[in-house]
Formats: sequence, C-alpha cells, structure tokens
Amino acid sequence: MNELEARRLLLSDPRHVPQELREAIAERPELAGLRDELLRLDERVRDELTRAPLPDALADRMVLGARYRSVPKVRLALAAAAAALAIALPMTFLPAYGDEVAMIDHVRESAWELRDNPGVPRNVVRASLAELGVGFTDSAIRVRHLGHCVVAGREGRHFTIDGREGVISFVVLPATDGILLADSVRKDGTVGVYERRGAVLVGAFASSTMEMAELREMLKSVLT
Amino acid sequence: MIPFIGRRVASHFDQVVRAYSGELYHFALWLTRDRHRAEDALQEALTRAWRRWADVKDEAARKAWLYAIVRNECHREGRKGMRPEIAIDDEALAQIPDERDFTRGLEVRQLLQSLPPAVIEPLVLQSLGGMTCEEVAGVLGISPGAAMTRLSRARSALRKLAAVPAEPATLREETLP
Repeated sequence: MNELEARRLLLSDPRHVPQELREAIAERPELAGLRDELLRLDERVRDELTRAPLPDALADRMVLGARYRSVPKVRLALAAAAAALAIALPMTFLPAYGDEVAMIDHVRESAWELRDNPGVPRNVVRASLAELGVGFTDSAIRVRHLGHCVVAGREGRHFTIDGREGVISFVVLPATDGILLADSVRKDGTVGVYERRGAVLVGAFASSTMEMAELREMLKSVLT
Repeated sequence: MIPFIGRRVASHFDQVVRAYSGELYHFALWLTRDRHRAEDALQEALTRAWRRWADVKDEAARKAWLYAIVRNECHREGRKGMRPEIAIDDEALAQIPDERDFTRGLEVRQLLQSLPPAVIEPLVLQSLGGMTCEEVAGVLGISPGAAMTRLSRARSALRKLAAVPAEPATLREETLP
C-alpha cells in the first residue's frame, strides 16, 4: 500500500483500520502521527456534537412513547369510546332510572302515613301541582293525602286517592336531564308507571294486583 | 399494549433504545438544530422502528438502521417548513456546566458549521455512531466509495480549518460525488 492510498484510507476512517493499513502505519511514523491527529479531531467533533445535555429520562420516555403510539388508532378510538360510555351511561341513564326507583321506594315507605289523612281540598291539590306545571283532573276524586316530599334530592308532590283495589299514589318530580329508562317498575308488591312530561316526571303507583294498563290510564286521566 | 410482539422483542427494543437514544438524540439535534424538534423526530423515528423491529434480521445492522430512520424523520420534519433559522440551540447550550474548554468547543462548532452538511454528515455519523464507511454509506444511501470520498474531504477540510481558523471554507456541495 503506497502512502497516498494509506492517507486516503486514514482520512476516511482512522478508527477501523484494516490489517494492510496497520502494517503501513507501523512502517511509517508520519502515518501514525496522522492517525493520532485524526482520532483527536474526531474526538473534538464528538465532544462538540454531544455538548448539549440529554433531556431528562429520554430513554424511558422514548420507549413508552414508541409503544403507546404504536397502538393502532382504531383500538385507541375504541378504548376512548368505551371510556366515554362508561362515564356517560351513569350520568345519562342511571339518574333517570334512579328517579323511578326513588319514587316507588318513597311511595312504599310513606304508605303508613296516608292511612288517617282526612282529605285535601281539590283547589289545594290543583294549586300545588300547578307549581310544577301539571294539571289535575276535574273528575270528582277524593285526595286523601298531599305532601311536598323530597325524592331523589328534589322537592316533588305526592298525593293519594282511593282506588278499587286500594290506595293509588301519584308522584310528580322535577326531572333531570336524563331520559326515561323504564316506563314501569315492579318492586316488592308495588307497581309503578311513569311518564316524562316536559320538565317533570310523573308516576302512578298501586298494589301489583292492579293491571298496569289500568294504572297507566289513571295516570293520564288524573294528571292532565 | 404489546399486541403482536413478544416480551422478548420488547425487552430487546428497550435495551437498544437505552443504549443508543443519547447518540441518536444528538444526531437529531445536529440535523434539526432545535432540541424540541429533535426530541419529536426521535420519538417518531423510534415509534416507526418499534413497528418494524422484527424486519431487521442482521443485528449488526440495527444501529445504522436506527440512524437512517432518525435521519429520514428529521428530513421529513424539515420538509414541513418548520426548520428554524438559528444555527444552534443556544438555550440548551447555556445550561451546560463549563467543564470543558469552551473556546475549543466553539472553534469546532464554527468549523462544523462552515462546511456543507453533505460533507460533514458522514463525519457526524462516524464520530457519533462509530460507524464504518460501509455503514455510513448505508445510512446516507450512497456508495461506500462516495462515503469514503466525503469523509476524506471532510477531515481534510477540518484539518485545514483547524490550522487556520479565520480561513473560510471553500468546499462546495455540488462538487461532491
């Protein structure tokens, strides 16, 4: 290997030296000097290139980022949708369903306090229901009890009338934004039917021996 | 979160990234001249690398392969027109404890900036990544002979410039093979 060729090889890569070049360097001290100089120059270049500090936890973030970003976008979208549903469902449906259960529970729990009520004038009932935007029938119905009851954290109206198969309760409750999940509920011997009417939820409740259709008819006719 | 790639491959990926992320970041920083963009480009490059990790059969080629992906990603970023005009990330440099000979570093920096990128890039790859001429050629997509020529010219130019710092660089990119 002549000197020119050796110099060219050294200039192109002073670090990885093939055997033939190694022998040439051993024979010529000027080539060894050139190699040392080039290695020092490379070291200075490397020092300059690595002068900027590495960002904190670079490797950890790169590994995590690469894996996270590699999850197909469809899967990410599905996961996001599932998470959104998991949050939205309780907020949207469960409060409505919760209102229905709370209403029937209230009716069942307050049954004892209705027994001795002497009756409420019709105009009082009408005025009370009108505050929630609900009308009361003109039919001659005797209202035994009227209460301004708090159900599911909201003040509503609860009144009872005498039906053929026992006491029938009506509950009017300011509605939440949730939609009505169930239009009827049976629970422990009591049945309830429900309607959403604008800003209120209305329900009629009776013993489960009563026909659901008949109870629904009463709801429509009593609360107008 | 690792649907198709086994734990062994994931562990290998971790090891390789931990070993090379520093030098790959510095390479990206040299290309982009901005530490935020360098980090973004590196992240994108490693994400691409992770997706195609099993494609590389020759483990000896892994490092050069990573450099090539980082380089492509930095150039992709550059094509978005976001390349800043500033020559170096001075904010990052200002935070460096002055443990080295700063004057010497500045001099080398000026030398590196005074040469065309196409000339200096092979030298950057070799100095940072310790690559052979063949590996440099692979990363840049040129022949080994062309890589050797550029490396020789870069080192020759740097030697001359280091000897006479005030002398302007005379190499022109279009004269390169």
